[in-house]
Amino acid sequence: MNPRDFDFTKLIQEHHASLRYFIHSLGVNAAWVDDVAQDAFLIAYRKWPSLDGELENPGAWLRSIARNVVQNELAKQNRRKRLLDENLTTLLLQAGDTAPQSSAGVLVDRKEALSSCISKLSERARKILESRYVNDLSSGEIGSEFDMKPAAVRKLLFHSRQTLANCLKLTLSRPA
Amino acid sequence: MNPEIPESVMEKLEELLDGSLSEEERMRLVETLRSHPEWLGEVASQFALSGALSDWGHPDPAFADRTWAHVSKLSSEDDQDFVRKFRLRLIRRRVVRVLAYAAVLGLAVLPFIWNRPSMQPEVATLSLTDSKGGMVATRDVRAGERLEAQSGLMRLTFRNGAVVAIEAPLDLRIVSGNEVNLERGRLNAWCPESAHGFMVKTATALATDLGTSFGVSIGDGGKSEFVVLDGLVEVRKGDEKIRLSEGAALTADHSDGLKSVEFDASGFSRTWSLMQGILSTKGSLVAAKPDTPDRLARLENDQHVLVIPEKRDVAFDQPIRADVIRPGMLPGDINGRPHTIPANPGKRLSAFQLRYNPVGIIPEEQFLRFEGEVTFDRPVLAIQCQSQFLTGGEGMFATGHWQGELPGIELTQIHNPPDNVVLSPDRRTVRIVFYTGRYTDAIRVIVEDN
Repeated sequence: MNPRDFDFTKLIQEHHASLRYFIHSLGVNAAWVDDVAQDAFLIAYRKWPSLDGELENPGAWLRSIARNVVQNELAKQNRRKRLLDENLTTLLLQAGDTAPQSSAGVLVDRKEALSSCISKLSERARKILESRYVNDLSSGEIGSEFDMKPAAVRKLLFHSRQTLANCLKLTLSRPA
Repeated sequence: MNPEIPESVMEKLEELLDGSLSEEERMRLVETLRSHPEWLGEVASQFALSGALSDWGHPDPAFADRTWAHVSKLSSEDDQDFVRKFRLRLIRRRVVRVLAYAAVLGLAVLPFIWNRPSMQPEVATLSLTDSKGGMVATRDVRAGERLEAQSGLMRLTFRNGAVVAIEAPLDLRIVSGNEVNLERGRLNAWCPESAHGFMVKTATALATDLGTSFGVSIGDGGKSEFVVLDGLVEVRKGDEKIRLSEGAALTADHSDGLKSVEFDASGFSRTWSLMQGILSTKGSLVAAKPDTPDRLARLENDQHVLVIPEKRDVAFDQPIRADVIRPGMLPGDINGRPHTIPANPGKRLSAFQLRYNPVGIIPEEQFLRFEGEVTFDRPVLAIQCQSQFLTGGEGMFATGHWQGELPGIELTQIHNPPDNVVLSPDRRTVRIVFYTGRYTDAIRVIVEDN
């Protein structure tokens, strides 16, 4: 592998997780996030030689490429299914760098921080997160398992993610 | 601190993430967010965390390697190579998706794909549904093919017009374009005039359709049960032959002859709905249980708004007056003015009533809210919502007599918001909100058969 490619594989290793979370934050359908991320990395690779190693913030650069890839999805009639809702994605894109979501991907980039924050949740919340994200159960199915109404499950999932976001902010703002 | 998002919005966001939000609700959610840009940061954060939690639940350590392989391969190709590979990737993805669906449905994948006698004529189209009622795959089937599955629902649409919905576990052989052998499972068949004489053979008897709708199931020990929902069916076992009319049922087993039994079609709910073209219902809207047309026309239920099939395969030989003839919301962007669709004799139509008709006497001051949606397999041509349109469609579509003028829905109400009806942009999903209590609310949805 030549040095240029070696550097690029390092770039992928270091940034693919945050880039994918950033793409999620723009309302891209979960099943298509990896495809959009790979499209973004392909474009990045084609631009890579012209940068000549001068890249101050590679994460921000990748996010701007991904933002354009998602923007292009909006223009393609038959590819809009890649988005949860095209109008919502338009809103999220328009909110741009001024909104806090620009850091959404970075927030959850640290896997160990996420695991640590999950461990601080209540046992019930952890089990419900597991049912949703490990066992892929719907809110209705989780409700039956935990004797809760589906609406209560949805609320708990939402609040658990809020709690995790706050925990991650605190954890990552502390000096290492 | 993030701005506080109301619980109602939280819930809709969650439904959006798990894919259960209707199109109409999605539009409302986006409009709400448009007017509250201060919530967008929280929305983005929720989406990002949901992605991270998916990774936590299903880690993909090979993603970086796969991405590098993808990037290095595509970047070294010329544009034509890229296009060719991209197409190949799409084809592979489609194949994988169909196989995944088949696996989810528990279908016997090998017979589904390969048990196809290539020299026989294609006689029907097979459609597979997923657990949510969506059609996930269709293909042509040939005479002589055998279908086996452990779970799931599927539908055969024969070239002669017969429609057969089958529920697994099943073992069914398509003998010809006019005959099937049911070894195991449960089916509902509907036969228009062009398909009269359609036969369903079991290990113990043979049913021949004389028009138009019946069910067959195989029970323990190979005992077959036949129920007739509409029209007439002839059932034969050896020399014994019985003509069954609607509302009648009989069984046939290996030892005894044909035996009349009490009519109970409740076990055919799933196949009957699919045969009628009801793909899914949500919320307070539920498909009526299978029954004869006359009894269906009089159904009562305090808990739900029922989706009740009316006449099917009706010639479109007279104009139709309706208040909803395009996607949108009534009242809202559709204002309730009458529209007339001119007759189109080449087309055939079917109709469904969406009706709340209480059993008991509910106090006049008590109002209930019913919200739900139904998705059909065919596009909706028109919806008759107000009483004058609904009553006007009786002659063409009703299967039984309704005493007096058929009540529609109220577009203005004193104590409640108006009832409303939404037709989705793809014209296949109808969403309703009825505020009602003591009195009947109903609309008629007219779909295009061809």
